[in-house]
Amino acid sequence: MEDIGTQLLSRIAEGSEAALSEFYRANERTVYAFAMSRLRNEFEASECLNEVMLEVWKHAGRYEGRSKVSTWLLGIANHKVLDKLRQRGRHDMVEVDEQLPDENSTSVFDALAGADDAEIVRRCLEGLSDTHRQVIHLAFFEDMAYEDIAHVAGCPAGTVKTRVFHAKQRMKDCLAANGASQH
Amino acid sequence: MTTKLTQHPDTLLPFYVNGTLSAAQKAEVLQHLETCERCWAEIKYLEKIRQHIKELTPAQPPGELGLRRLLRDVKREKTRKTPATWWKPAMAAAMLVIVLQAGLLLQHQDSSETYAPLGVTQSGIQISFKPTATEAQIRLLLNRVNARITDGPGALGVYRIELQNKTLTPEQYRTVLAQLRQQEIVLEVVP
Repeated sequence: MEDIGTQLLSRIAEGSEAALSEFYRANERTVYAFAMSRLRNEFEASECLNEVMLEVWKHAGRYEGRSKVSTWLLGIANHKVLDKLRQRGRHDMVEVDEQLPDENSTSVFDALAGADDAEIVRRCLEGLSDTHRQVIHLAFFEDMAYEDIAHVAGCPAGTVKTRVFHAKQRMKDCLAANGASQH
Repeated sequence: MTTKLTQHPDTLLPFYVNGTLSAAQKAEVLQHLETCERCWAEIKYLEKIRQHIKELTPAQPPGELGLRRLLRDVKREKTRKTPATWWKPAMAAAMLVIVLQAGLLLQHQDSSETYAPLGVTQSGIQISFKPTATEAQIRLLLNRVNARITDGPGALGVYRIELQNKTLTPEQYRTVLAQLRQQEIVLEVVP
């Protein structure tokens, strides 16, 4: 798959619209899902997808194979999403506390009941900050390694691990609160 | 040899669940899990979260409509990059006006006089060709009038040619100019 992506980028760099079309069809869902997970708006996510693919058209020649094609592509998507979030005037990319939580954080056992309910999980995901939604989406929807998430997010690998940790802790808090209220 | 993790490997567990840890990291986590009920519960919790995220119904992407829009924008991008050539005919028309005006001025002069602007030889001629003119056609024309290119093309596509016959009379010179202007591939001739 990786070879196909690299070959397509090479042909796109030479001006092949056919290759661009093939690349679009192969990667549309990934980029759109990523944009939707953060923008929560179909129109803006479509705009973002178009801008990302236009960027691929213009700069396919810049791909040097140092990262996976998907990582490179989602890196572009990350920048476009951030642009859109800034345009909204919202910037809930709160810099998380890099320290690991203390002993008083929600126990996983308290969160397990809530984690069984898809609707509660969905609501708790929506309550996460953009930074947390980004890493959770890449870790669990795209199943990306933390080193690749670091490339996409433009931050160190250690930061990714910490952000994922905090994101799942926030989820636990929410799930425990919602799971308990259901019973 | 794996290192027994004494601390809970909290930051590694999500990546154990999504299957992206290295073999060495995975082995260390597994060894820790052998004696840690709390981390086993964490694994179960993360697996549930991951499963729900995977099953969340994603909104439908734009599909072929989105692709059509992209290709339209690509064409627009290509047009933006290609240098505009609309100005060439406009510039040729402007040159024609200048030439006509010069011609009107020259009509009042005695035709037997030889007119040679200062600094310009009788044989130096500025000529521009239609964009569709081929190299073979230009070469054939220049051979016919016994001329060669001495400069150009400039930014406006104008060449300077020099007639090899230096003993032309003014009338013969005007005849050559007329011949050049009659050629289908020639846009403009300025002596």
